[in-house]
Amino acid sequence: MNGMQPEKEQELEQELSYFRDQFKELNQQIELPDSLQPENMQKLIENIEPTKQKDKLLKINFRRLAGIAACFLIVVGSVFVIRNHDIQAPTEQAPQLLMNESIQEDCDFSQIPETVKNSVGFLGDYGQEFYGEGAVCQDDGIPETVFLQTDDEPFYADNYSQIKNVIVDMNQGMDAIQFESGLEEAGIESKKSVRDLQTRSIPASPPPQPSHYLEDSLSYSNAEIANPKAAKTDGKYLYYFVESGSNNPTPNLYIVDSTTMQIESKLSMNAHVSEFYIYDNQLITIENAENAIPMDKLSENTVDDAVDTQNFSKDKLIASQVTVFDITNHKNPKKVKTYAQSGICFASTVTDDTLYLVSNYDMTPSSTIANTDSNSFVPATYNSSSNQAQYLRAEQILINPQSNFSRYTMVSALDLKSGEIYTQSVLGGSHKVYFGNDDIYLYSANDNASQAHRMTHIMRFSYQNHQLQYIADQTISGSLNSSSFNAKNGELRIFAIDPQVDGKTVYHVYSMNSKMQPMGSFDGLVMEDEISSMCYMNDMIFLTKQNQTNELVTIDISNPENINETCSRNLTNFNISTLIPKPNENILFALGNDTQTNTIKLCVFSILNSQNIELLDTYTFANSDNETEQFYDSEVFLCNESTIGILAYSLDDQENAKMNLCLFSFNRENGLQLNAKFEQNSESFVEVMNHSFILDDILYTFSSNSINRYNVQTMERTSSLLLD
Amino acid sequence: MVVDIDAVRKARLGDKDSFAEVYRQIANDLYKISLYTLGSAHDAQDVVSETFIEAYKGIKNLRDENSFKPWIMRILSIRCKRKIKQYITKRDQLDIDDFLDLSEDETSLEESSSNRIALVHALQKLTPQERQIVVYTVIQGYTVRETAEFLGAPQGTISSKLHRTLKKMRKQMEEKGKE
Repeated sequence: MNGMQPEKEQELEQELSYFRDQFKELNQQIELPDSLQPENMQKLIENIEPTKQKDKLLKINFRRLAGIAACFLIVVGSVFVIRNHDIQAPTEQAPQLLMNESIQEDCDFSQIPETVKNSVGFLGDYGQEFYGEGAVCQDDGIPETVFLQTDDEPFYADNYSQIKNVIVDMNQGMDAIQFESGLEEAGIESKKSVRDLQTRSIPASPPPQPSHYLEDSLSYSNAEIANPKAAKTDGKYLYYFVESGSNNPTPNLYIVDSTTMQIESKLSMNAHVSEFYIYDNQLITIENAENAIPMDKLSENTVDDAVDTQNFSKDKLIASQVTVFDITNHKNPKKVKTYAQSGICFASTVTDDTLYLVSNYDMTPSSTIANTDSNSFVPATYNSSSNQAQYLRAEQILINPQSNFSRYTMVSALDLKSGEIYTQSVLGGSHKVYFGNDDIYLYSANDNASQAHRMTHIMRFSYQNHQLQYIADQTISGSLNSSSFNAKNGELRIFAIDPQVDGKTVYHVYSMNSKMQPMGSFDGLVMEDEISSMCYMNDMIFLTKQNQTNELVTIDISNPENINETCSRNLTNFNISTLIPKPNENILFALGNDTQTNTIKLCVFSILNSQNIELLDTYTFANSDNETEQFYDSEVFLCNESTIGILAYSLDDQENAKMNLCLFSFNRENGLQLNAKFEQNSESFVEVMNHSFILDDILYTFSSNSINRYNVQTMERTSSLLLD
Repeated sequence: MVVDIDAVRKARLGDKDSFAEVYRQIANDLYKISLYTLGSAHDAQDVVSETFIEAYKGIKNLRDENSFKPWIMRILSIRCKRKIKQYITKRDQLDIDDFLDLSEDETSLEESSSNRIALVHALQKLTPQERQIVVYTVIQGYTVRETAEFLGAPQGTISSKLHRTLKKMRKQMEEKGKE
């Protein structure tokens, strides 16, 4: 089974067999409900005809064609080069083009915390965004690079009727039938298509000024933390969020004095805290909560005359809620205010004294749209300072005419100094966001699952004077995740993954200017291998391949017009899962699995010469540490400037979990040194550490029911705090 | 799940009866996958309906009739993911009644209920994503490779995640058995 170790494969087969038996009885008793019987379902499509791929994806902006043509020439040129390369190059020089067998390795990336994924270029969840059957291919099987920049620029709405029409248009076929039926029931008329609407162009916006969305200034600067969404520090206090469990019925956020290891306070939360921040004397939590927007506080005058307010929601909605606590007195945090906006929060960051909160509010046909009497189609906000809920005004809503998915992406900026909040929304928004150096990028895969292309639409915005300013957008072939992006001096680099129907995968690198116009691209990576990790560093892309070959590949992106592969280093029996760049020292840490011994291995590469990546040192656990146990779910992170941590769990003979934390140092003279190793045995998964960080030679480890403190030098546990 | 390729071909040409016939061949699987993944019969019906209509609307874009199965599974998977996102914070538990009320035979229910409860409780403890993998591989009997294709994730990821998830379920069932 996909290249696993035989004994592991056998074990998995046994487990599968056991559970298949277990489920057999339960499975047999599930019957198809009447509503889903074919004869009933057929009625649903009586008035629907199959549709061809939407025209709008093919609507190339001919006025811009001249500019784009240059790009296509580059692409065609590069394709030509690749084709010639394919023909002329000996096998070892172009192995990625000649692989036929597909072997998969057992490597799990999905357990790596999001922040680590982002920092190291995690690619494992690319697959979550794949849609459709494959990209457009040329005759030789190498896909075209497709840029589809159109004239359909987002525009701010004039009124609610216009918004309503857009939503109707976005929900064609069944969705529109249901929606319009819902509208009729609600007494709302208008079937005018968005295509007939006179779009309002956006006023010219001033050039964006640099800001720093990327910086999360709230974590202690010298402590990078495994899973910082759960554990943070300001240098003096530890802040730790613990999910509800058998010991604690509600989720709690603990504030602990790092010196005395005493609990200063425990905040009982209403819901899962998806993120929290510490800013000056404020603790800011972000939750997704029901009834966060009290509709009885709705200000009626925020809705224009075109829409009957009686038909708006008075029902409970899940909303993203920001709660600000004053923690001047850590023993007694005081709730200062709450702010909520429609939709589920999926991203946030703090920079330049501002919290940015991004949520998605979906108008799905089966619920929201079909029942306008119970749900609003305009998103709302609530601010406890004024104790008022408000629908967004039409002019706060930016309409993206290129989208066919009726989703609002809500973007709020909370000024942490003044407490002011500014909210805007993009209708036809995205489900992913990248906070660039001076911009916000919203991007989403083509949401039509039956679409033949795998395309991603990216919208670039600046955020000035608390105003979301649309800059430009672009549609490219391939799928992205947050580590795909690299913004530098107005240039945007994108790494995209583009699976083909023949089993091969094409990896694209794009370079775009500030107007999202193509400056160059590279499509030379076509292979059956998977890319297991990737990162940007010093105008280079580093990526690792696995399956048929294990290679570390470098791509030079310093010149957008000449993006090219500069080095491919063979890594025998080494599947790298994580790359950690250290740009100041021109080194690259790589954590992975030795496929021969099936143990984890840490390597350090010098990238001084991008054409000759040099292996500086290797640490293999089985050989160097006399370890016989298997490590699972290993995770590598920089604890501080001089310490690299590896967190991994293992199972003992009784299948009990043991969490291991290994701390390494590295310098070019002495290589990698294992300085400390901490182990925690437990009969229960909840008791083992799952977060850790180092503050001034003191290691703090966090588990669901305790926080422990260790002296890194002596490895001695100096304190243990049981969380009640 | 065996799909009649000829029927798919006719459905691509707009034949509604053929599409209904193709649906008939896969409806049970679609429903079971949705039910186990979402844990709610109501939501499962929603998702299957949406998948049915979306598939019909998009079938002309299907380039290869042989790809129908992974194609519709992807649509289902995306629909399930959307639903999961909607209530990932609203409720993260399976509705046990949706599973335990399935049988009309009360004697049978009593005899097997403890095992089923343990199974459902073990499922409850999984994340929606883990549940989805278990549903495809264990309950529907698809291979890791097929599951990876349906879910659009690397095969290695699915494989190791499945390995760990089954261990987790086994442990949960054992703990439940001790109670």
